[in-house]
Amino acid sequence: MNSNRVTPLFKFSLLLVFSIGLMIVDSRSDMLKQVRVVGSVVTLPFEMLVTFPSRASRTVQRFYPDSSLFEQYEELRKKQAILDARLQQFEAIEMENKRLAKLLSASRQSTDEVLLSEIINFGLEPFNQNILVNRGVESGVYLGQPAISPDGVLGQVSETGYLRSVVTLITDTSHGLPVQVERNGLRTIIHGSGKPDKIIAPYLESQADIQTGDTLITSGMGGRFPVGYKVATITSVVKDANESFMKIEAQTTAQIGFTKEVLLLWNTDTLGNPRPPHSEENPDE
Amino acid sequence: MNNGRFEKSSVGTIIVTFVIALILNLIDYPQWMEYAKPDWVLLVLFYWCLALPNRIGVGFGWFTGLLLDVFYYSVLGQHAVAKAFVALIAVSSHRRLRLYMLWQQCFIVFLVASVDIAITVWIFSFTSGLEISVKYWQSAFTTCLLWPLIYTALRRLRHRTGIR
Repeated sequence: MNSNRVTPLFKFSLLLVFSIGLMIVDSRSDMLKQVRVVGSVVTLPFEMLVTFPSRASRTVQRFYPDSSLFEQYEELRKKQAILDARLQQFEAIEMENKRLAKLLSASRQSTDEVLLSEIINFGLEPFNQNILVNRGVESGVYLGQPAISPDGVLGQVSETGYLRSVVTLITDTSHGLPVQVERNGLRTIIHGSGKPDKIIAPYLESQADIQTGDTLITSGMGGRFPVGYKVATITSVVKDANESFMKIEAQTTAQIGFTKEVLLLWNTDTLGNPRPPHSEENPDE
Repeated sequence: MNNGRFEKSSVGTIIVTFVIALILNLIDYPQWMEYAKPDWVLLVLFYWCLALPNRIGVGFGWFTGLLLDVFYYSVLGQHAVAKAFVALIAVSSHRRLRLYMLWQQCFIVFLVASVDIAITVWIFSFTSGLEISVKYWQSAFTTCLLWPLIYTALRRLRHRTGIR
């Protein structure tokens, strides 16, 4: 063996020191965010390859539908008719609401811009509850942007790539969300439990008026999520005489396993957030 | 040692095995395997470190780990350090490890995969301040169970392509 050869241990120590520096820079500052945006373009073909089986199966299903498709179509048409009828009423209410808001000179508007995106991958890092969606900086996606599904709130954008972004789900342990109980308006903050579709509400004192079956909706506090989107249903409330706070668990109304589409919101309520670039040209996208 | 023997084509073959391992790491697994995803990249890295300790070593391991960080959107350096450590163990004791029986090697792979998980979990909880479930240790089991498969497949590939 050559004596001038670098020993593996020395090499490892050198790389360890370098990595520690890298990790500190990456976790404490946004300096490497640009690197990741560029990196996401490089990783794109890989992601296409990796998600090929699921995309292929979806395409096959589109061309060779099973026999239940007709029933589904009928069901959806009925649903559509009901929703259309309800929408008329809703529009009338919205107009009335706007008029009243103007009378009260309130600044609140509830017109949210949405962008439909598709889930590409689940659970990138096994420790996190997050998903990868197929919209990025190019479509005007920004950090902290709310993401919802037709059933309820999913989470918020935590990383943005050029054509991809990562959405951290509300079930992630690092995610907190201000909510209120739909029944009585009681406000609190919920946290993710780290388990799929499960969240906890750790800050409610034992005399708080909350019970199993209550629905939690976003309260709009903090200004990041708009008001009134469904979040979760309370599944268990445990009162312990020795503890001043209750143990409350809830099931998210949006079930990530059954969701394929994610709606990204541009809330016109919140200040200073960029508008989607497509909103002027083709509002129906 | 004759450096000329290490041709471009064999570098290509090794990189292709890593790319396949990376793809297998990234594909979706069924829900019940959530905590038990095997680490293919670790297996392939461990094999090449044992087979060619002078070519594939700590630096290469570190780089594959960094790639994993980019794909997992984790803190840059998290998997890099773990994979560099795996390569360090494999390279520095490759003589002894080569003499072991396959089942003994399986046990070593289990230990190495456990250390790999420990390092990533440790760095993750350090940078994010969160507690991690112990369940992720399950993937060390699935990883070590796949070692005989990877070992025989890559050995056959190495003999056929004549990489030395």
